Amino acid sequence: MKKYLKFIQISFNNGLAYRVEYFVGTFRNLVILLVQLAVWKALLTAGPVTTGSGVVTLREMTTYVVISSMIGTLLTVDVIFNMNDRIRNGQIGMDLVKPVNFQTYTFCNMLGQNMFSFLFQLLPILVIGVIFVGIELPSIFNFLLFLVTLINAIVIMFQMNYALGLVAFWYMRGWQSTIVWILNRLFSGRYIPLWFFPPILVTISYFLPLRLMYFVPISIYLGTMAPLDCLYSILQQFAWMLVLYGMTRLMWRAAIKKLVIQGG
Amino acid sequence: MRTLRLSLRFYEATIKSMLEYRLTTLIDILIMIINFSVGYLSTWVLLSKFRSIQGWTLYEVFLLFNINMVASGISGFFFSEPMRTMEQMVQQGEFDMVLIRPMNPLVFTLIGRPNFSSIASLILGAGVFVLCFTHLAIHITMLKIVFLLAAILGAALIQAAILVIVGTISFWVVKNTATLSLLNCFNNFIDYPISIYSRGIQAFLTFVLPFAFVNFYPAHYFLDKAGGDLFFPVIQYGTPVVGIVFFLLAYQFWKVGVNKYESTGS
Amino acid sequence: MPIIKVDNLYKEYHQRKGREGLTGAFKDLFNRQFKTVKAVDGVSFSIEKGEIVGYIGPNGAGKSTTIKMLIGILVPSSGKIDVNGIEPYKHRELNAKRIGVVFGQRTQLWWDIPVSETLSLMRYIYDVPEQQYLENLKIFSDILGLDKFYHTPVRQLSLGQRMRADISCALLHNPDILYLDEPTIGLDVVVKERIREFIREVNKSRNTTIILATHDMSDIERLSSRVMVVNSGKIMYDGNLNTLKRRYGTEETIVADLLGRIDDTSELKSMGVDKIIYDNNKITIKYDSVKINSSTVVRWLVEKVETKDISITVTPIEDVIRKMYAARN
Repeated sequence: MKKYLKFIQISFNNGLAYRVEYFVGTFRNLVILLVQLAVWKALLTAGPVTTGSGVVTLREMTTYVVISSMIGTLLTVDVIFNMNDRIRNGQIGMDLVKPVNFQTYTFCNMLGQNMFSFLFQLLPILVIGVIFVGIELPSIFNFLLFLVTLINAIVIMFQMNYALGLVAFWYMRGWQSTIVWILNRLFSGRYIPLWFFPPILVTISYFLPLRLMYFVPISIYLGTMAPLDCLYSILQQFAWMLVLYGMTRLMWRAAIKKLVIQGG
Repeated sequence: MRTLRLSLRFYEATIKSMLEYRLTTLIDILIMIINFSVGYLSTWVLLSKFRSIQGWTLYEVFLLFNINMVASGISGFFFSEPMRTMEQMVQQGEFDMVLIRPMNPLVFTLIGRPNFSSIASLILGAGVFVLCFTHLAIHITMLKIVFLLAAILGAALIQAAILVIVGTISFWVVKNTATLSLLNCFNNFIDYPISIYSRGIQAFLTFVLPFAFVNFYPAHYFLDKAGGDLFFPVIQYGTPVVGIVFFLLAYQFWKVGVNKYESTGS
Repeated sequence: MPIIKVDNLYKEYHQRKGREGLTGAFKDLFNRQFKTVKAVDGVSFSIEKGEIVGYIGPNGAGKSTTIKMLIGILVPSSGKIDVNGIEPYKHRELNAKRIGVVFGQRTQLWWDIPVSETLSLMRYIYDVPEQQYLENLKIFSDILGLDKFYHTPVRQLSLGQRMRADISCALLHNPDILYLDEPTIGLDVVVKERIREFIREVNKSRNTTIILATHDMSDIERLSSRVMVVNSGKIMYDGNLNTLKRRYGTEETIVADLLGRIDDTSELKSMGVDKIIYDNNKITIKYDSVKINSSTVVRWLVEKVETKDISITVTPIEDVIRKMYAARN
């Protein structure tokens, strides 16, 4: 157990070596946030808008994008990139020799990064969001539920990335990150809430776990989700976690078999 | 021009090797197409609900977005790979190999590495232009077409200049890739008409880093938008000139960087 | 009229000197201190057309720095360089047309495309007439075996093949001067020999001036009679190689793993070798390189029996220099 804590610590310290990249990332997030705030201000100048799920005000959208941005800092990790890299140049051999569970090891690495991101990317956005933008603050109950869904989201995101990372054992072109990014843009509610989606896209998004990582937590935060729906969503999160866990186990076993047989 | 013939021969070689790995190339192309479409899809989702943003309708925003895509495709084809590898070339002393040749060092770095995925933006972008023209009731004249082409080239020069500036920074600073993301951030601003931002941001994007000249001002003219909120009306025609001037400034900066490398070695 | 004339050449680098401790680091923020490193410290020489000159010295002696200034890609701090009538760093492109460069540690070929494509691109860059181009390709194939990997992408080449491709590239446009910076580093003995033979041939048939910077003495042996020894940016010796060897250090050792048997080693003894230890499949030959040349020994060995691995240890240049210093004091 202690060794895993050590991994998290090492990963966090690693962040310091890359602090320039983190700062640039924070800057990027702020720019994108600024753009989104301006866009929604322009779209909602005429006043709140009615959707199938209720009325959406400018303040709600403002809060939405800020929270989404903060979630983004925790869910953007380079798990796929690292795995691709290590599998491609054979370093994975070194990792497999170590007496650790590779999946847990990768997870700890991610946690270290997350902690660093939390301090240097999420907090700045939070400060700006509260002081300069004036976001809505949730009720205690909603906030707690929000945290639960957020933690689940981090786990699901990891599992998804890990599964896609394992693909590198078979196919090394490295487009997995692109696919995740594209799907995130369209189906997660990260940039545009599902309230505004045309019905087809909403239907598709129900088959993917992505909306459970952005749209659902944010909706809970804003209090726009009925309590039953909240419960239902959390159950869905757990369901996805189980499914993905099973998938990664199967893939891992197949990958090891392939590695042992094929070598390089 | 000898350089042109040179480059074409090189592209021939790269294309030959791409054709050898057909499945990989096919999947790469598929990814390129999906990558290209995402931006437009998001805008479509947004504007099918909201109809217009700051007076710009769906196909008008498509046009705006598309000018940047096409311009970035052109500049990316020539400059993205060379400038991205500048960091490594300077750090490892590989830039010496560039200076050995009896050629302009900037031109030589470009010959080595075209970025073929950028071509996708070009081809698909042309298609999107056709799409926009058919859906928009703009009065298209010969003059406008000529201007649009000049503006796209000017916009490409602006994007190229940004890439050159980022590459040149490698002569002094180690972490080049971070700078690339930093300067490229501003591209996010011009995904939408800049009239949605505060006056301050508009001024920054016009007079400091001329990103607004990439697509907003040319689109403004092309779509016959009412010129009320511009800094001054003639700014609409500015892109070709701004492109040339900004690129020349970037090129001067590049020359300073090369001089520094020649004085202090690697 | 020498083809290269170097007058009082200096190159200084200013390195930031970091002060010790936390207060030191703080002081550094306001008032940076610099340490001046003299990479080239008052070097003068002249080289005639058609000469092969060895430029030898330990790592960090300032060889590469001088070569870069001769090529024109580094600007001197002071002093004058004249190559073919022009100052190389002032007229970089003009100078570049008439020279060829091979850096041992880096390749000048494009990584992902076949050697053939790089060469045809170079042809256009240097305006090589078609006949000359074809003639050169034939020579490269005959002597260097270029045709065996002509169509292979560069990243798949072995080090020896890559080096041969680099040399072909450098000589494609028939330059007046060929600069070689550690060209045989990391190569096995047999390939080294081939390359050295080729360079000698180029010098003989085309009167190409050749500057060879290296820290390996056996590189220069086969090639040049004139050698400049450089250390800490200064030239310590400029003259005949044999004279240098006779004065300062000449014992060499060859160790080889054999795949066959040698029945009679007396021939080698009669050629002037000092000591032979022959033990099962391994042979160790010690000799004085003034009396007999390493390449002669290698050639004899390779002719007599199949070898698996050959290594040559020469008197390292550091020892030569040390003896030189000692002799002066």
